[in-house]
Amino acid sequence: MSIGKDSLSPVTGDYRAPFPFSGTIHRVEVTFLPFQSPSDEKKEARDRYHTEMARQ
Amino acid sequence: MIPKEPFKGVLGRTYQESSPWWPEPKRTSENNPNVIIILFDDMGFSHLGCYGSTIETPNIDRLAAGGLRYNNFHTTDLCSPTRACLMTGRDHHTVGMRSISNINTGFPNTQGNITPHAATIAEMLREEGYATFCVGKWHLAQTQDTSTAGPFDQWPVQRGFDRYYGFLDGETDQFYPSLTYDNHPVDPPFGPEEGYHLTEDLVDHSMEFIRDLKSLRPDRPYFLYLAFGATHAPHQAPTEFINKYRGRFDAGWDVIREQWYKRQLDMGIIPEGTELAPRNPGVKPWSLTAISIPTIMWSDRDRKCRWAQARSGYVSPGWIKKGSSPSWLMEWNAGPWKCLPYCAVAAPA
Repeated sequence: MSIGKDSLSPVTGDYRAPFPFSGTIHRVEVTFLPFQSPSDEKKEARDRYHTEMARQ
Repeated sequence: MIPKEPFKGVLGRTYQESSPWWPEPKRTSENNPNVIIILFDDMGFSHLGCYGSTIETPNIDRLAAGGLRYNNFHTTDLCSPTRACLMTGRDHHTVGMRSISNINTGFPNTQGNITPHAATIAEMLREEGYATFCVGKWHLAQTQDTSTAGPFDQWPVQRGFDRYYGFLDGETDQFYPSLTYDNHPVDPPFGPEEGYHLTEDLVDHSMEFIRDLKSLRPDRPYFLYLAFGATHAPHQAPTEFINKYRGRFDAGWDVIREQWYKRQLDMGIIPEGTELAPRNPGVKPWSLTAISIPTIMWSDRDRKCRWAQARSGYVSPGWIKKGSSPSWLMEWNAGPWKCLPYCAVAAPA
């Protein structure tokens, strides 16, 4: 996760990475929503597995 | 270093009644050559010039001409398990790396780490007096442990390597990489606008580690494990390297693989009578890929040609730019030690 900058190759040449935010970030809040059901959690794990394997 | 052996001197009541003792340091000799393992990623068996390719790899070809080419190295088809086998010399299930280090199923064969009960080559060679360097891709620590918070016990520096510079996860941007130096995060030294590419940066740091050692202790041998991101995704190569291959793969994969297969037969890389494997499931015949329509965005076929060019350009940068001969490998061969460079090609890994 990149906060306040774009860490990877930029999608357009209109700006130069990492193009950092020029102000001050005082606080970052990340909220993870709970799973609605055990089957949602299983599906998420399965999707994450397929995503990771597809990158190899 | 703190000696592991019990003290063998004499501890008397007074200094006059005592005698000191120092453990015998590990002495290396000319029987201990410098060892370099250079590992490419997701590279095909025929992708190097010396293995039948039309991709230009003059420096690697030159190394091969002065040494041996092996043609029976098998990978596990995945990154972390192949690397676990290479590092330990053992079956990847046995050492806890059945799959990639992103996966931990809670069973002993799929922990996402190499078990501490299996030693890495670095751990073994360091015990024998070698300096040990790891440069490039690691992918042998559980993904959730690769942040700045650690834990760090499965990072290269705690799995036998004295020095580390590279990326801990399975892939990274080749122009804007996420880098770790020893045990801390660093930014790339400069940007692609100034000519930066990760392959070359990794070669530069390999030279730095070797120079740090040999300029002060030419007698100590080193083990360098240089694992490029090339040619794993993302296929990012400097533009001039992509452009040199423009048009070279327009005939399509069916024609090109047939050409490389014939070259391998001629070179004796594969024995007479070897049949070319069929296309992988899901790969269409080239004739069925969509042909370009000039006024519309790139067709499927154009995109695939461009990918082939990018992949070919991806192989070469660190080698071409660092001189016409692999002089940097030979540069720090101080004294009587011989350098045994070993190019391992993981395909796919």
